[in-house]
Amino acid sequence: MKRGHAILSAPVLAVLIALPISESSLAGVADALRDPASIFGQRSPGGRGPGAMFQTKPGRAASTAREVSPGPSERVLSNVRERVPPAASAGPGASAPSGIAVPLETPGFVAAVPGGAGLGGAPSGGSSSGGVGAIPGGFGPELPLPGGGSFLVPVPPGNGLPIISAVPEPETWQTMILGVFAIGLALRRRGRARHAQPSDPVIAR
Amino acid sequence: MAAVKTGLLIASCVALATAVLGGRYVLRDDFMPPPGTALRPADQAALDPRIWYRQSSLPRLALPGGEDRTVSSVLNVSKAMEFGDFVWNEDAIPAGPVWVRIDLGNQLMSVFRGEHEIGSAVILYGTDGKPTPTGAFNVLAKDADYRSITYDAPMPFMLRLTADGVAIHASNVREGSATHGCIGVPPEFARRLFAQVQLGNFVAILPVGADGTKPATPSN
Repeated sequence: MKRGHAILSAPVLAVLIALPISESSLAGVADALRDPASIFGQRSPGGRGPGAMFQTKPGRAASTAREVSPGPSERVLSNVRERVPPAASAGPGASAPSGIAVPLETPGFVAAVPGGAGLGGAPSGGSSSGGVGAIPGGFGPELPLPGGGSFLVPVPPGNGLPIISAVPEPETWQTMILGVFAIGLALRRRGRARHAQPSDPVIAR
Repeated sequence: MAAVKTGLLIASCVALATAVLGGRYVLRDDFMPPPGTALRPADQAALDPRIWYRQSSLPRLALPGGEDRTVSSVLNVSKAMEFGDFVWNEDAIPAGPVWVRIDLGNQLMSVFRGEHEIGSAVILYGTDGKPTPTGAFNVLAKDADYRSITYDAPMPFMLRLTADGVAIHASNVREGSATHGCIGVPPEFARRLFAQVQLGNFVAILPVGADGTKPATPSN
């Protein structure tokens, strides 16, 4: 074992020692190899292979990945905003419902309302639960609020409350069917147990 | 039979380990002969920090921009450098104009002071999609603590070469990487280079495929 080690390692070592020295001595002696270009070529790690990639900087990646939204999104309220307020379709005077409450205390908003005359009986309407109607007047559905958003037209109470449809939704149907199945299963099991009681010892035996 | 096979296996393993260890020992950078050992001239030449050219026949390096510069000595690097490696030796080199030769094909940068090379490093350059411009440039701006606005990334020891932002700067030089068009050099090398280079100094970037001795054709 040790002899094998010595026999094998000695030539390997000799070759390894001899190789760099002979290379360097060759390079040192030969004058033709001493021009700068060949020296640069010797020390070079070689040309770059295909597929060298730059790593996108983290900051840059974050900035390019983020999508900049154009503004505040109001997806939930879009239906309400698109609906033509009843005040706009009818005349300003005729459209005014009985009790109009303006539940906004922002003085800036009140000052900005142009058709203030349309809001006749505002204080008499009392609380907003009594009858919140569409704000009448000449102004359109998009009124800028001082906060930066858009003015939202209050919806009459009938439409504002969640509508319960006469026909159940599919989810409701599913729950109902599940419940019926469960009741059926329970009944079947109970019935089976009641019928199986006399023959139970026979089976056990 | 089995014993012979086992013996062969063990022997090959030992040989492999010896080759690795021996290779590392022989190729070590700081390999020096024991003191008092007489060296052959060739070995002495291999240990010299730089290679001097005869004054009667000094080579001239062709550079883009239609000029060639005389070289009196270059650094003696006995083996191929790896990514992140650099050499720097300015001992006994007189003051003079500093200029830089960047060889994209060899992925090498050489810094010269006068006619003597004082530093060399393996570089990174732009990908094929975002190539590094080649040709003759002058250093337009210097900033030791530069932070890129475009890439939102630190680029220390920045030496700007073009108006659109191509520069030499410190980078993590490793194999398989590339830049967005800049020249990336190891940070310590970048620090030394930054200390040497002044505004307006000449920087030549040779395109891939340009032989160092032949006049390089600048692409722009």
